[in-house]
Amino acid sequence: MKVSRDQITGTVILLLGLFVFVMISTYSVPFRSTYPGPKALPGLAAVGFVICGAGIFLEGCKKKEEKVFLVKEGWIKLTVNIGAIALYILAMQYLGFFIATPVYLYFLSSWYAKGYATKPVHRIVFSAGVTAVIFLAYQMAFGYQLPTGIFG
Amino acid sequence: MTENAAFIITQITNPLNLLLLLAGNVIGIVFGAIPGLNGTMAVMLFMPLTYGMETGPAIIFLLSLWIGGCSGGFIGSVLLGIPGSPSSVATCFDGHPMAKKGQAGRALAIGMTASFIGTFFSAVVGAILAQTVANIAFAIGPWEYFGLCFMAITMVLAISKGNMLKGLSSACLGLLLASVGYSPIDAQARFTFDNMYLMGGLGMTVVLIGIFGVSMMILAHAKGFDPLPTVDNSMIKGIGIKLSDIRENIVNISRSFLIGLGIGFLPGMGSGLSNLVAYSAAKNNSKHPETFGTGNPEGIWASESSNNASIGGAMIPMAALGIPGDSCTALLIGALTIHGLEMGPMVFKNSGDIVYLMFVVVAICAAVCFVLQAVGMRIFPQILKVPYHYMYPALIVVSLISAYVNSSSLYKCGMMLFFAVVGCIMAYGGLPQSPLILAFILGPTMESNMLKAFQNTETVATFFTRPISCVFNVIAICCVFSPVLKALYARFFRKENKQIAHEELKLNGNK
Repeated sequence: MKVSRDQITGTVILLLGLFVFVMISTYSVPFRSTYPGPKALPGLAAVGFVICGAGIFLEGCKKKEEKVFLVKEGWIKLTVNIGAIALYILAMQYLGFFIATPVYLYFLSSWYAKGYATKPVHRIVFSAGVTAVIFLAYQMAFGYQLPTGIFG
Repeated sequence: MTENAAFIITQITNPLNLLLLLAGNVIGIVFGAIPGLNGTMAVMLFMPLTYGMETGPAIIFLLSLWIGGCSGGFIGSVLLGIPGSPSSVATCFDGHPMAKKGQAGRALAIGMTASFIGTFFSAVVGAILAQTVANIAFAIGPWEYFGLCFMAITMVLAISKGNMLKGLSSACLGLLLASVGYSPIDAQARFTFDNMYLMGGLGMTVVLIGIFGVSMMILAHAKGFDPLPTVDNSMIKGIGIKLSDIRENIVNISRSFLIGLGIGFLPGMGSGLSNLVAYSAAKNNSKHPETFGTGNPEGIWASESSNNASIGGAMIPMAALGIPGDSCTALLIGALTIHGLEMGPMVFKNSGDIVYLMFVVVAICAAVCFVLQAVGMRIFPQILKVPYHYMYPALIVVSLISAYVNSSSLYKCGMMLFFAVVGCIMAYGGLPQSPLILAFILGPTMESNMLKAFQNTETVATFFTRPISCVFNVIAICCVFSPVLKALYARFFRKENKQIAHEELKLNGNK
């Protein structure tokens, strides 16, 4: 049996609701009808999650056909994008903004440009230009300190 | 307002502020014009840049981004047939057919004139009405505030057609994210996992840019970019609009303006809805409804004057009550809080100069956008040709740097990545975005007012015994249960209709 997207979404939302219920049960301030306390807002969200999760799951059971969210190549691209951002954050931590940013921008613009006619020199100019504009706007104009890494 | 005139004049004549206003309008128009981006995203991305500014320049910059974004939406609708933002969906219906007929210049001119009329006059009406609404708001207590917030969140759900459960899930996610950190009044640590970065709650920039900005860009790449649009400059020949065009459409413009103003005023609704309602109203009242959708200028007048009128409409509850009219005003409320401005009835007493500055800036932005669009009409096709492989990497980096400068911590960048993954999961599940934004921004206000209300009366009954609070809460509950109510209504009337038909048949048979 093929599991529909709504069934997966419904299950995730339902489980999130149960998780929230478990978490709020540990709070020291009790929920009373005269004063609901800190459990009220997350409790309301949890009730909503459980009801909606179950509803979305049941609706998903009725669905026979649905549009494909992403093809296999799309999932790979999504995962690599997330990994690349994680690496960029780590690179900023250790190498700093000035090394990490142009390298990341060059990699991303080259990868995103697949199928388009672009020249490496354009991408180099773009990467250096954006890095410079961010530096000028954030650090020079508004005084924010950008990550310096271990060389800072 | 007159006592604040000196402050307002000082602010708007400051060269740096004028430069910020111009830059904000240009950036906003670009964001509004490019399909997939919008004014709300421009405000989100550039908001951290304003944290280091004085309140006046920060407000000028943020508002000019917003107005530019709202005004620029029609460019993509006319030239590509793809709305630049949800507020310009109805503009596509007639704007693009006009462009195809070689009347792109006229369609763009109508769009920019209608945008100007909508924004400018709604700001004037807003400035006049906001103080009155604020005076009324003095009479309302935490029960009514809770009801207003509750209603604002649920009204968005009511318009998530066929998607009620998903809309509600999105709102619940917003409430859950809003509850991270120490709770109001009781100071109970919630979902902090002993992590010092979570103690103060989740930052608006990190959550919203992560969920809506970064996730949108990486998903766009994963799904494959659409081919770059091809728009011929020769499509734009002259302006082709006269004063008589405005005179002929004055009823349509006035009606659409009022629709936009009214929908903008309603908490949680905004230009995304008003343009469609105004378009339908224009079509229903037109002498030639059959020409709508084939390039009738009346459609553009209606859509663009209404979506821009929603700006002033949304600013009234934002300033007077602290309740956002749409997702962008929700962001602005958050940004103003960071600048120490608590929106609500007291703001007129404490910072009346800033509030009136906001309305004046909106009116000026309307004029600046009009001039920029008139001058740059031939540049519009170039805006739409910015390659995705340059635009998206730059925006991803700016998003991450926004998270970093917010706290000078790369941990926030990691959190933004986490929320980008949450955004992807939401897109996978088809959860809408607006309920999350409103619930996340309004959650803390809703909770603190609810707790204050209980501290005062210790019973839930008061929420329904106070008339205004009762109205808000009943509307909110009806919005939540609207699909059930609609189904019951349909079933009941279907049954009744069947019975009538059956009895008629019987009668006819007897005859």
